[in-house]
Amino acid sequence: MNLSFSLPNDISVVEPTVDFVYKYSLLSGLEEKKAKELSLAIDEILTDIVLFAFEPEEKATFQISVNTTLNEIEVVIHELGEPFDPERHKYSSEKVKKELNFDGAGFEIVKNFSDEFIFLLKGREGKEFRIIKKIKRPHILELFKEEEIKVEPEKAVAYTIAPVTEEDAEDISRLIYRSYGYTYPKEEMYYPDKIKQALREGKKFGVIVRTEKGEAVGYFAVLMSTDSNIGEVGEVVVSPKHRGKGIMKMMMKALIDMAKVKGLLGLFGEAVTVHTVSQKVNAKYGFKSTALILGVFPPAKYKGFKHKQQRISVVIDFLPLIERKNVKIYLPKEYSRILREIYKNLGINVLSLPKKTYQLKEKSTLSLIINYNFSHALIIVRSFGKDFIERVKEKVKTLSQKEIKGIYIDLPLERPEIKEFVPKLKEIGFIFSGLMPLFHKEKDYLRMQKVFDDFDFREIHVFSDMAKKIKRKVYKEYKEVRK
Amino acid sequence: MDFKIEKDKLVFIINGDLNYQKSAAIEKVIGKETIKEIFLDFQCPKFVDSEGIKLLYTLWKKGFKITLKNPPDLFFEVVKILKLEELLENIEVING
Repeated sequence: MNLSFSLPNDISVVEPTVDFVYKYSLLSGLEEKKAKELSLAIDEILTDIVLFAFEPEEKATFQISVNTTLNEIEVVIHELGEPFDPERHKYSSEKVKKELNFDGAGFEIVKNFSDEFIFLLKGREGKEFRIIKKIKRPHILELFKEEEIKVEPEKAVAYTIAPVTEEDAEDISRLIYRSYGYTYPKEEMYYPDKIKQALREGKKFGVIVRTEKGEAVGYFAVLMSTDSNIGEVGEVVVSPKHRGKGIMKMMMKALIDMAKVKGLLGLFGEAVTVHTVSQKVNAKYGFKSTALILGVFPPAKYKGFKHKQQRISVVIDFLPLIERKNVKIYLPKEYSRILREIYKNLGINVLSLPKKTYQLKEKSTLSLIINYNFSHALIIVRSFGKDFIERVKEKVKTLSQKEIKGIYIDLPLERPEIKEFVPKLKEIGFIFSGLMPLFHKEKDYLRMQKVFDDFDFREIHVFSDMAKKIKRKVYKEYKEVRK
Repeated sequence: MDFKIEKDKLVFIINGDLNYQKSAAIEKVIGKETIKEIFLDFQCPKFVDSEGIKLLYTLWKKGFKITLKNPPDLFFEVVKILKLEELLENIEVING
């Protein structure tokens, strides 16, 4: 969860803000001692800002945001006060002893009590302080002995299915460990506290299947999108001895019903293309392929499948949960045909909006999400501006220097500027990926992609006819770019 | 923040942390008194920040006798980080 607020440069705001950060970090799972350390670090920075960043009588504000993930809590403080060079204010105990000069003491404390501390001088954009504290949680193997977890529940006559609650977290971790060992890609699934927190914060919902003895043998969850009212069918496991008993079917059906009750507009799956098993399951439940994304995950070995080691591509399969008969969008001519086909396959008729004159703003609004674990990045275009292509070029350059292997860009299909910018993105090496229905702010986006690795398309296995058409289009453009 | 004079010492009840605001208030009170002994009674503190350490260190250097009741654990860590362990040797700490 992310919280941001603006505060006046008044000393009286420091203590309540520090108390808030302390309580919030405890609720986020930070240990008490670490929460106190974080509070002290925040106290030091806020006190320095209020006392020294502005002129004595100057009335100003500064911004603080607290961001928590399952693994860490990050506090970012941003102010537009006077420039400050910490190198010129280094703490020295000798100075204290000789002159009672405590200059730099606050920074010394902040550095010691942060797991990561970044101070950025941003020129006219002011100063930024970033403090990160890591949240430690017990691994499933710290809670149970390995032999205990590995005991596979015996075959059952009957199964029960129920919505997942926080109390199921340990059983889910055990089930994941028992079924996948250490090969499950989402590490947080081995930490029951992280599962509990995600459920508590509404980041996901799911179902759990148990035998008549109460042993957990199946789990399936929907991960809520943070940018739109849709969810990803993202975590699934069925205990090996209990596969082929219809558990998967039972869980998928229950999840779709739950998603409808929660008012979600759609569900999507990112099905790997090393094999077509997941794609077949998705197709069986009415999901329709809308995109092929190259190289989303680093190479990995999939048990039971012979495949070449290359970055793993995924097919986006989408299940609409509301009826949309028509969409009015701007169709870039390069992708008009394939987009119409994808929409048709989803049961949606496209009303192509005619070319419209528009005045481009000076600046584009772009959001950038970098996934360092998987070495890919996503640029979401919120609005186009005159600087659009230059900004994208800059980002591509910076990201490639950071060893990012795949850059994806989502373009709003409701904006007329898309027609102008698709060919320009193609010129700088972006190729087609597909349609991302309702992916951002409940709107449809065209996804394009730029990959740096080589791909053997024979190793990208897709199942549905639509996915095959998309693959052909992606391959054609991939080859053109590689020429 | 509450304070009282008990015999020959100034007793401060510190609710929460010893930070800049409270340190400044203590300094103000001390400036008006002639008493050279202070007693800080901590209630539910998380920390003593650098301004609090500065206050205590300065008072000790000025010859004050300082007693801390139930100071937070982080106080001792901060003193070590700032390499001012001599302060710990010259103040009295009461727990309980």
